[in-house]
Amino acid sequence: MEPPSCRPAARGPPGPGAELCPIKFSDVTGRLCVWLARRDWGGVGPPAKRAAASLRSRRARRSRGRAGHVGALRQLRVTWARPRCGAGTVGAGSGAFRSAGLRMRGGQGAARAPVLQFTNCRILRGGALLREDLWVRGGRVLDPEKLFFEERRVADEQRDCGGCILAPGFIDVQINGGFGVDFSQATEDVGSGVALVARRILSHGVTSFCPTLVTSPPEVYHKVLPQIPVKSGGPHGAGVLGEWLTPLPALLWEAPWGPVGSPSPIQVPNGGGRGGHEGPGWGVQGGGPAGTIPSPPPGVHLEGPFISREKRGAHPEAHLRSFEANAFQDVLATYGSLDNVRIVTLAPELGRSHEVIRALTALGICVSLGHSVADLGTAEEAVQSGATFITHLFNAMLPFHHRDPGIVGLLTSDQLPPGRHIFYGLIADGMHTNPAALRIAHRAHPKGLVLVTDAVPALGLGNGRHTLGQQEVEVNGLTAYVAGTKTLSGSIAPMDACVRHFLRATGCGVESALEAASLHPARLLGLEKHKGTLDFGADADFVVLDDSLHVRATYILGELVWQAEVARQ
Amino acid sequence: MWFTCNFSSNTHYREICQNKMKLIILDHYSQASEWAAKYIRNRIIQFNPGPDKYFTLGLPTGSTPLGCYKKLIEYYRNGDLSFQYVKTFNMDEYVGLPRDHPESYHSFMWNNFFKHIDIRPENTHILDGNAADLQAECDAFEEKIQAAGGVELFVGGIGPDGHIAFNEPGSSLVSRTRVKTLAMDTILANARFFDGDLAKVPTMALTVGVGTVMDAREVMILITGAHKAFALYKAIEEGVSHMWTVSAFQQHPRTVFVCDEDATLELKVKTVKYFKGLMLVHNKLVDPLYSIKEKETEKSQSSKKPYSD
Repeated sequence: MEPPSCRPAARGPPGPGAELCPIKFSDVTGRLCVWLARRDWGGVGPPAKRAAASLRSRRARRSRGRAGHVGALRQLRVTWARPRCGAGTVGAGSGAFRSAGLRMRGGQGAARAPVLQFTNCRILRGGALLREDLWVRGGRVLDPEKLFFEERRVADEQRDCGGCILAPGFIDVQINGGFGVDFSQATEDVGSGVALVARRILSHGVTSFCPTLVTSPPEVYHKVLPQIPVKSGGPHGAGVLGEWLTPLPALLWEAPWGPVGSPSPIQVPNGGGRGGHEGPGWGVQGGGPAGTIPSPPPGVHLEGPFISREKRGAHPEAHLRSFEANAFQDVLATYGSLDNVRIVTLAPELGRSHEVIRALTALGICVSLGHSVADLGTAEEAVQSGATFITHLFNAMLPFHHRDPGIVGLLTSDQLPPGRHIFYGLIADGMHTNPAALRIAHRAHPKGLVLVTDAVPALGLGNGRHTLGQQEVEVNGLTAYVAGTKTLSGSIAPMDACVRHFLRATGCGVESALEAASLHPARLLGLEKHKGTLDFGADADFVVLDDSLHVRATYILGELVWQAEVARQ
Repeated sequence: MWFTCNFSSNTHYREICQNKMKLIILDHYSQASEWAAKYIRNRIIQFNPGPDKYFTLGLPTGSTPLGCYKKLIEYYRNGDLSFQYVKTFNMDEYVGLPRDHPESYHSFMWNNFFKHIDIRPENTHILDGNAADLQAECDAFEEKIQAAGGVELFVGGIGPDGHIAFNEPGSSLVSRTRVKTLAMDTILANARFFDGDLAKVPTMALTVGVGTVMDAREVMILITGAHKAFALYKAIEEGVSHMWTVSAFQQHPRTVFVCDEDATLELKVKTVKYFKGLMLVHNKLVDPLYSIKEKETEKSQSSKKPYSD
């Protein structure tokens, strides 16, 4: 089986661990595509399903005549069914390719896709909860008025949401792992670990996330980063703003992804398995019905190692680095590749940091200030050089002082470039940031507030010892300390709990609390046209919440990917 | 005889049976809106529409009918009324305003009515003010009305200058659907919807003609507020005049004016008293109020039918 519009060009080197081997294709435009295949299947996709898949791909090829190759590729959508043996089990994936015929620009594909209408709900749109229905087609939020007057169509299916709140899916831009998985551990099978987390955090309402690597030796970056391909969310799990999964047999992504941040016309895995809560899947995500540019995926968040020794927090001191003479080359040498990197946290007081900030920013990578002893002046200069984010405000930085507010002072700085404001991450887990500090930050600069979990691998696990990066972490209740010390080491509160705590602590209103976990991180990453919003044309990634903001169900691209037990029929 | 109920008064009986203009006076806007909505509801249900028998309804836009639409939506939500077999024809639309402009009448109808009810998109008809050939669009609209068997009930509102749809003062009383240049009064009145900027207000519109509305089997005009009082006076107490186009409906065999107290300020006391005295009778039009839930029951008790065609 070959993907429509791609023909095999060369078989790449064997992949690591889970028997994954990339297969390179070039599509008709000569763009390089890479399929990662399970080696034990000897190809892309489970053999039993290949016949059906090729039949469908012929259909896709037929329609390509109408829509062009990009359209044809966009309409390809593949689903893998629920793995029988659970996540990460080799050979467990069985499923079927499914060409849903979606998202052809103005083509018949778009018109054929079923229209889903979520009724009896309040949707978060434009900063307000509106008594509106949410209309979805082809994984995108649809303008029902246009459908009514231009296509003269009604919904194919209505779903009663029982008066719930529908909010954009949460985006977690700082998560170190969870459910026993540590993204910073250089295992042979990082992909499956990321996939596991991606699947499990669906229950927290998270539909996209940036796997975060804490300070590690260069070998870890070199080993791990290539294993975390950027992908979109689907029934298999939340989108990594670079993630992917192992039980997933095949993964397509377009190699010339980089320079990072440049929107690519063809996008990767997103998923398909209707109703398969754990079924990994992938698909090709294309433009919406209106032919919009597909959302560029977020990617990995690299927190360190270019950070302050004094404010290293739980980061291992031995691996901290400073910028050497040729600063950016040093960064590249440390990380290996920046292809899947979306955010880099660094300390701006390190020498030659501005050079690095400018270079990273030019690549479309978001530079975040954190683990730093910078004063306000240094921080402002970093922002002028392109930094846009503050990593877990108040934590691992100088405390606010009235004569030198430090990085915290950026919230109300008047020295920022015109028209720009700073975003800042807040760990609203009830431990890392005092409610009074949450209120101060929120009242000073509500628009920049981004809720992050900073979750450690112990997220979702019980009490006891767990690893974080190169260190041991002791978890007790809602606290996680570096083992044997009283140093906080990331949070173990799920995102939805952070949203609730933030709302309770600040009294900011449901709309603001939800936006702090969705719209604001999307804006930070420049994804607000596609993610973090339920505006027409955006990806239909959303979370169904009751009035107390407990997650009832999670949808990615209009497909149910998680549902609370109580809500299941 | 279409009317079979026994009333206590013979006078009232004649009044309601005769084909004549009715003036319904309610205390406030909300009551007037509710009365109009109930009337529409009863008419639709009594018509007993089905797949081969659509009820055709002419609809206005503007602030006056909003309360009536809200009530109709409520009836739909409660399961008392369905628009599945209703075809609608809207009175007018601006020329050159994008369909998705918030002030377009497409947007108005979608946001205030259509999106809340079960009407099928193909059964709604609104003039396309962006058509390449505007007159052809108007002619096609007339043909669609004909094809639907004419309009059963045309609901309308009026402007303070007595215009119905965009049939500004001076319009021919036998006019058909056409392009119309708006009067300065209308443009000024509409400026509030376009950031108060006169330059943004469309100056032309497509509108059904007075003759088009006159062809409907029944016409219901909603008039509320003191600023429409003079227009109501011109509509019913003076003669037919093309300078007050709504006055043409004096000659329609079945017209219902629904107004609130404020709108009657310019009427003669005796006119108001006369029609208020008739309210007892006219209220029989909306009481009992039918529901599709009970349609089957009602059918079996046809003797209770107070009003139908």
